[in-house]
Amino acid sequence: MKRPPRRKLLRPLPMRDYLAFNTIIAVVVEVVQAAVIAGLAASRANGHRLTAVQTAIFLAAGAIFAVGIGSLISFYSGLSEAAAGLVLRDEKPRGASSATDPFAPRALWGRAALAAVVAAAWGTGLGLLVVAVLDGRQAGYPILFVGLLVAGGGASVARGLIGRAAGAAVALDPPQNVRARPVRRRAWLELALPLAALVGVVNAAFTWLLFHDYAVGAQFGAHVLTEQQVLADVATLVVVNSLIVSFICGRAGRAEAAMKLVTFEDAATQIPDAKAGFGVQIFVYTVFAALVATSLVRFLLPALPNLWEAMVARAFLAAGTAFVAAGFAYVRGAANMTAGTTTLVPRYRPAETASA
Amino acid sequence: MKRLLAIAAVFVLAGLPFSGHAANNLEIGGETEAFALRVEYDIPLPAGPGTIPHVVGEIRRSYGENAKGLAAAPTNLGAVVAGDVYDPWSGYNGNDGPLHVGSVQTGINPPFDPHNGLPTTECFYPGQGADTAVRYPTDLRSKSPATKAVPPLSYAHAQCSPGPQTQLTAWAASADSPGTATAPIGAVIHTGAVQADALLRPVKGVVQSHTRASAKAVTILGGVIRIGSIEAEGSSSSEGPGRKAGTTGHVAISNITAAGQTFSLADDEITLAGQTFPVDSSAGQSFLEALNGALSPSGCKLSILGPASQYPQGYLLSRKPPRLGVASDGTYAASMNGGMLILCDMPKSLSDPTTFSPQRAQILVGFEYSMARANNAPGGFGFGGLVGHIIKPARDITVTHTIPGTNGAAAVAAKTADAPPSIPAQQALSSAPRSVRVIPLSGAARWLLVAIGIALLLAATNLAMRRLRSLG
Repeated sequence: MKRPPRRKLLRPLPMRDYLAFNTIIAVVVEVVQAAVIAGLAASRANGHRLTAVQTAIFLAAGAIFAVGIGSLISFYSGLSEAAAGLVLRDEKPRGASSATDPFAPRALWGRAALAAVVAAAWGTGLGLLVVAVLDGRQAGYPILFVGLLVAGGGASVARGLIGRAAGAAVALDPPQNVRARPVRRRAWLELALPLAALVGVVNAAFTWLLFHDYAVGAQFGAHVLTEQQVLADVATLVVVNSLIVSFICGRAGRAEAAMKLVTFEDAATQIPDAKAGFGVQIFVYTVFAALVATSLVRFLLPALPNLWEAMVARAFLAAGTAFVAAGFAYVRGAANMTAGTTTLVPRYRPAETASA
Repeated sequence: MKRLLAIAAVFVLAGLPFSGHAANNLEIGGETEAFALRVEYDIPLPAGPGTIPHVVGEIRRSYGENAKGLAAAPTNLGAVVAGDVYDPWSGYNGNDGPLHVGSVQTGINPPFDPHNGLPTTECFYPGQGADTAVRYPTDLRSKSPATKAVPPLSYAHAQCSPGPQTQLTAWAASADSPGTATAPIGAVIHTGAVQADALLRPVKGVVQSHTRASAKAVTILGGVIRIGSIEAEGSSSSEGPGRKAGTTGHVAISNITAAGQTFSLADDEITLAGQTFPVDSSAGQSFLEALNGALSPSGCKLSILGPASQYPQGYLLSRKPPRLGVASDGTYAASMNGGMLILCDMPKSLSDPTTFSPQRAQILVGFEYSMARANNAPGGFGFGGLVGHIIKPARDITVTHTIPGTNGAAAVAAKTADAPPSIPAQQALSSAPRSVRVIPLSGAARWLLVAIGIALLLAATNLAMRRLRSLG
């Protein structure tokens, strides 16, 4: 069966249809995500089960982190897709187009923090019910999967819906009091740094999830926490975190540049030639640099680390990689957009759609 | 209305995954123990020449999995083996001089060549010793050209693995083979081939515990009592809540010759000269009385042990007394059976040079114990009992019924002999509810958690719904 070209799949939709379509996509993504994360949680735990309290923490933390990162993804996705013309304005204004600058760091991260607080209440409430129901017993994969789907997935889908609507509303009705920001400050200080901190915390928590039942200090047997175990999947850790933050900040850079919200301190060097934009090489270098940094972490990490040391090591690698990848992704997106070497939504040009 | 429906949907979704069959801390477990002969001397502390042959196995899955086991033919668990002090530190000490424990010199010379160590081995999973084997004398004298290539006289193999699974095998051509550490016990007990096996594992949704021990051509005290063969075998299985559990076991002792009488014992029945009668019948009682009367000049007395009896802790069992019976909900099954108990005053020729007189030996002939537990279905999670568990107390092990084929009768003790300590009747599982949870929450705590959880869910749902409604 011949796949339709992407530009035919991407077509402008009214806001309601756009949100409904993306909600369906989000549900599918959350099901897969919950299945994978619950599988990882169960597979590394003793007896493939978590205690009731561990399960409650798992659900609450899952909701917080899913919403914390999902808040940025949904906002910038809605913003860039609406700015690209994939969302059609309807008669009713949607989302909150407030008087404050929605791109200000305080507003941007404040929305994410507020959403995380609501998600925390949601996940914690569900977690407490789980503790009451399990009553001292343990939870296996089915409970973890469905619990995470309801807690993290439910919160993330709701937050995604609100975030996309807010982003699209900002693109369709840009607030008047928005000011352009210097690209370096915006990229590294306002986006990459807090995002890296969030990624670090998420990875520390994920490290706990992976290794909390591993034996510390033992040299033999299964599930023993060793330096090798802690860093065994470092390539995956680096690549996955790079991809996620590059996706978020790349979209942010392109969207904000398209809305003329970015200024370049040194335009001659920061903006590429119109025929040759910045490529993806920097991300390859970032991943290689992270793998080299792993050697340093390996040197500093004891042969038989404890759980805290494992969490710090993996959080450091993930946060460091995320910081570099996020900063470069924003600058690259903004620069390429300004130079006209890329589109807001990859391979989507409204004119082509119209002619097609 | 929409908001109410949304909140209702939340609680339905939240309740869906929580089955009443969610795991307990101890999900599955299995235990076995079997031996053909156990001999203890009364000098003055219980001690013995070992248990011949011996397998003890256990599997557990709770927060993690573990499996452990001991296989021996015979075991060196006794502090005194073959009349000499067994030195558990021999491997450490090297037995190149007087024994010492740590830095304390005892001044006692090693009881036997350390290279004659008993074919006893243990396994534990997870850990280094998950698969261990000892072949005698092949392994213990591997540097000797004379023994390097000869077939082993005995071996013990213990294998513990994930699953969890424990597999044990012990075999000896004779428990008192010449040249072995236990050769001197031949004066008390001589055996032909002895073998013991155990296999404990969850397989195809069933926790299975099986064990077997046998010995052939046994001679006690130089022929006072002769036994053709001993076989102790037991199996228990459990499929988990709402399914089946069962247990079975028997000890069969064939061709027992004592005081000129030859008889066999199996299934609580004595077979004598072609006639079979229950052990606890008047004919059985009369036979035992007559037999013990005839045996009294030899200093020995004999009693028959019943199935599923409660035995003294420490003497027979390497663990605290277990619960016996079958749980009607399919979560537990256990049984144990003993064969004969023989008490003998040791002849002076054997008890010398000790100053204990009379020195006694108590010999248990045939014993098996098996247990299987599945608090949760061994295969994993079931979606039965959805939602309702929050208002229902946790499942307990409750009513049991008597194990088929075991009437729970007390052991039959010979009336002519000094009565051994009375052995109580079968210990059945209690009919009183018994929680299997480790740390259950109090009712108030559970409802408090439920209340706080619902309040948080309502608050979060309300906030989210407001934002979603604003989208139109």
